[in-house]
Amino acid sequence: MDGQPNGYNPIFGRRLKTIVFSIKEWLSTTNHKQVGILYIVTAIFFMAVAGSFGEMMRTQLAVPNNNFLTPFTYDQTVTLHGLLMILWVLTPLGIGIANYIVPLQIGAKDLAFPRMNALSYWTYLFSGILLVSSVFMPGGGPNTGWTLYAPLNTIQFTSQAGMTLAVLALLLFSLSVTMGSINFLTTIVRNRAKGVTWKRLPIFTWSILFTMSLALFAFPPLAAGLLLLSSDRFLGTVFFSSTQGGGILWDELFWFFGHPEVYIVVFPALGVIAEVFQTFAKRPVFSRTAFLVEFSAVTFLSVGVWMHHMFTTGVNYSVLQTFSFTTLAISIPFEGVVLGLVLTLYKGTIKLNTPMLYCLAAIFTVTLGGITGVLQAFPVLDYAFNGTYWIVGHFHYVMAGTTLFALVAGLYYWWPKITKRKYNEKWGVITFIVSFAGFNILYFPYFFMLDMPRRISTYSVSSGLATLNLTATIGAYIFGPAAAIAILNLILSLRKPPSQTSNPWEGRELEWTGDYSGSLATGNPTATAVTVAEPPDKSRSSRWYWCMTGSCKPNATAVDPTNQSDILRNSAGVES
Amino acid sequence: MTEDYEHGEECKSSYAPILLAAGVALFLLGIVVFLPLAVAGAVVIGAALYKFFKDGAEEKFAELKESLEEKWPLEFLNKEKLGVWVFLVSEILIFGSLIVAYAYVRLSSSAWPVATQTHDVILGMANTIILLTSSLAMVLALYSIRAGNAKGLKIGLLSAFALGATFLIIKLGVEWPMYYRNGFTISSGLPGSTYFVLTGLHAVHVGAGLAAVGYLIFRSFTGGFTSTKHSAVENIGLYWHFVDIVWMFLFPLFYLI
Repeated sequence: MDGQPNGYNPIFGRRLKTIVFSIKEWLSTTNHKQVGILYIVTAIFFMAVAGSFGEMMRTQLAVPNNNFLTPFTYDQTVTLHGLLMILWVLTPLGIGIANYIVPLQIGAKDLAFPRMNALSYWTYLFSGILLVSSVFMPGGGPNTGWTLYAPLNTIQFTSQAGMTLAVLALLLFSLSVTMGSINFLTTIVRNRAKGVTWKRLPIFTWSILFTMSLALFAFPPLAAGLLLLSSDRFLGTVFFSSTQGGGILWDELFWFFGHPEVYIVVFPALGVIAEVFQTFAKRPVFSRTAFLVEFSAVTFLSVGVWMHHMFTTGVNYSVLQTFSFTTLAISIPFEGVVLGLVLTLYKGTIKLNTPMLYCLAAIFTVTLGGITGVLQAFPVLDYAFNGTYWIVGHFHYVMAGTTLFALVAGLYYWWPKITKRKYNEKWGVITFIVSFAGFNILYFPYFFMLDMPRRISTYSVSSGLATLNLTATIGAYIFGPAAAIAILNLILSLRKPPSQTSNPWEGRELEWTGDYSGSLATGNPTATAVTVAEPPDKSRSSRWYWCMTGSCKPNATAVDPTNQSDILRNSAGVES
Repeated sequence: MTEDYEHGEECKSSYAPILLAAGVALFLLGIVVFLPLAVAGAVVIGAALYKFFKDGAEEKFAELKESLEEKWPLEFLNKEKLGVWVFLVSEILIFGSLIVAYAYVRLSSSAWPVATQTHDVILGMANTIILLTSSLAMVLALYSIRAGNAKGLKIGLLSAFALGATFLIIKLGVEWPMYYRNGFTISSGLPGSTYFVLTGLHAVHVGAGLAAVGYLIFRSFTGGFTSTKHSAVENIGLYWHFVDIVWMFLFPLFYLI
């Protein structure tokens, strides 16, 4: 704004009207908080778009032999719903929250490369616009399913310009995420404030570190595949139409990206759950070191399981065995992570606020989604389940259940941090209950639709699937609006005056307390008093930090972590 | 401690990111829908990149103090250099995926022409030597400026640039037209497709490297580097060597076996 050439403004420190009119500032910002908010808002916008595609599909499938959508339109809807939800909604929503929270948690002034961060955001936005506009191209948009399998993705089978545009949009998006991963990895490794050692690094930041390392490994191979596909479509090369490479080559490149992508989406969600459980159960995460070791084991193993998506492509027997084994192997540390989260609640003083409820729901869905998923590790079962609604149910429990619920929990949890305002708790709980019920009514019937093939626009009366489908559609009509109201609850809270409490949950993690020892790195003069007087001992872990800033014993009243004198006394070892 | 921290106070605003992203999107839309749009996109990209380089040259976004930071285990890397290394990991994965894809289609094919039938080993060898020498010139430039020798820096950078440009001229001006005359083209089957896409992407990287070295040359002539302040030379040098190393893989894979 005028008079502030450096473009900085405290974001919600002034009136809403001013914010709306400071468009110039938002267009040119490089501030991690503002970019984070842009990410979150854009992801929610794309969620509305992709969600309405989902509602359209459920409407089409409500009754047998329906012709609400033509098969071609339905195919486009399936494709866009999948691509948008996984890549343009869930991934960036996690990145957006991370953008805001990670620098606060590690006490960095900003991300390592602020301009590149803005560039990541804008390429993400424009790539999404390109993808959505591909539907309006003459000849329609992509209609191949989100996997864009070859040779369906070549010009012989999908000659429409919309398909080409979608491929380029994906290429641009993978560029955006790759830049983001470079930025976050550098920031977390090199820009932590003095005192924020690896041992004290908050769990959410750890989860983003794992997410971004995976993104760095997953998205370039996708970009390579998309480069080959673009050159097929533009320059007349024959990678995916030839019989010597073709379909399997695309499968390998796509799933080498595709499986880590599942974890790229889920990891920030797990990080949020850990933070929320810690705060609302007043316990440090259970067995923190083991938890992080298991977390990193999942990260390492997840780049070695991609071929379980290709069991039915005719790969040879030893490949089946190997990837069946790795898939079972990854489920062990993953269960460890989930168990660690559950055990965090053990003997805790649990408060059931909206974020906590969403996280508990996410634990329920990750269990069901995980169990129904690990069965496909056995090739013989995979042959039976492949391409049915069982699979659709499985990954919606993981994606729409675990990830979306946990990320929404993250929004609710950090909403007072981001906006200085609190949402309406009563409506929060009501919308949670309704959306969780709707979610289960929508996706649980999928586990019984073993005879229904994916991506097919209709079914016959004689198939006996009518009741299950109608139930699912009713669930969709409950889940969609409930999710919209959940977001609306957050938005409407902006009308309230800013609250005085900066830490309503009594969170003890660094983004709430600001207990860094380095004042220079945070640029925060008030951080100096506590921390420079008594810098935390490097050898002590985050668990220690949790117990020092409040009691780790059950049912004991926690010390107010925002109260400096308490922390000072505790860290000086004085009995209070 | 009820006050919220005003993060990013020293952040500066810039329109370059949104311009660059919009330019790329416009370019991509243009090549699908309407070519003049792509030209407009390219112009916007150019303007945005100019802004990026200009800000870089004026050190508008220069490094803040980082003395009070937790750095273990990478105390020896500043954040720019670490960023470049992480970026190179992503580049390795792109080229790695493409090379694996090449190996995959070649091994799946029943017949593949002998390298010497389709490729000119002499020209490839010449290009290998030229690119290696340009890396040497880059290293000499870095060592010169470390010793405070600004003239050595200029000579090193200019020779690296000249050698890189020679590489591109031989490749795009001599080698490729010759292959096209022989009927070995990008759409003549998998041998042609793999060769032209992989070396084409490498050539794009050499081109980007030339632009970056051009920026270094500009700054070295305007006195932008001293013996203590020359991290851009080292970081762009890292990229330049990476592009060189990629060619060390592509050359034997296409020209020799």
